[in-house]
Amino acid sequence: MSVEPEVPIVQVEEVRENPVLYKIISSDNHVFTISEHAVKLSKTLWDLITNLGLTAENALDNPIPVENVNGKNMETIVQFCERHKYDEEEPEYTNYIREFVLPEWDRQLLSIDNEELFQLILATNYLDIQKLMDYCCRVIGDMAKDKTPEELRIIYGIPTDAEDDALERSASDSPGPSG
Amino acid sequence: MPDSPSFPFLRLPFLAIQNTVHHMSCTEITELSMCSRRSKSIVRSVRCPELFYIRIYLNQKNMSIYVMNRDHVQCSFWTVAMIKRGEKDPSKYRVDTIGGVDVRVAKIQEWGFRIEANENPEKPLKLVVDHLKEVFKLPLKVVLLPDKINDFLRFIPIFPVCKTLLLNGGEAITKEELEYIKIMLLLSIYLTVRFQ
Repeated sequence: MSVEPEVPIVQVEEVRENPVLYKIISSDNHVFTISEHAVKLSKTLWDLITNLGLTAENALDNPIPVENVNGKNMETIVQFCERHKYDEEEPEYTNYIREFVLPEWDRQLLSIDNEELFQLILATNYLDIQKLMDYCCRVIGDMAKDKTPEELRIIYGIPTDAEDDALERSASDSPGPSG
Repeated sequence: MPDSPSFPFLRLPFLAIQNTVHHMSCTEITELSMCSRRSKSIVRSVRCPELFYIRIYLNQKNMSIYVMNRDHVQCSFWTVAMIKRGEKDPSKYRVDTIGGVDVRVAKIQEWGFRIEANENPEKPLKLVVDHLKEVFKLPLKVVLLPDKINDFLRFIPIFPVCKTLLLNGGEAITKEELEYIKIMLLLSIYLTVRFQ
């Protein structure tokens, strides 16, 4: 696997304790290095690393292309994973409403506009990072606090029944691919 | 968060929608379900396993619906404000569409709603019960104190299928009325008639 020479290399955090580093290339060709502990938070990436047989010796020579995630989201994800790589494993959520305090650092990290947050969730979903998904969903859930249905329609972009009906009518009226 | 357009909630992958709903309180989930038919349908598809049953309590002075959790604690409640014609309730009402019908609803606490009713409280009560039943897919447990409720049988169609029905104050019920209730209801566990 080769990397284009002009590609910027983003070193998100100095890795002190764990010598094993992996390289990830985002869809827009940004290269990120990430430590082994951090990359393990992404089930997708870790499965890929395991399946590719990457080791401490050959990891940096074999960057992993992630075509569904752009550099901006990847940077956030790498920052998040490096920040939380030594967190204690949390108990599996079972039946009850997920109650936890969203740490201030993470709240700041996720203080991005709605479209960026949406794209970050799609990336998180693809990379299967449970903790980041929980935090993002907590931020979205918090938007509903003390809101009426009318306000929620605006916040979450939910069309009214009349708008949905009109959309459905116009979709069924429009000619198909054959014209 | 910086000003930006709406968050495209309905375009999220299902697992993210489910995760988000699991971060919401029962009241917030209910509000979300009342946004539109589509939002209701999405909320319906999310399991909320901590919620356990809907308790309906009907007596002359208090007509309420409670969504209860596994620990038998109220997660949200709805109560009926009986407003006589010409009178005005000080609560701040909004109009929500529930089951295709406009209902005047006031939020009275973080986890409570009041619905305005005139002489027919059974109508908005049925709309709310049907909505909650559909959204949360929970069984009903009903406590009915028929004494002094004018024509209490009109409330029976609110809960045609219920897990339990406790008729408290059996002396207020005639044999014919009891027969009617037995015919009208499909009970999955038991009917209790208690005499005071």
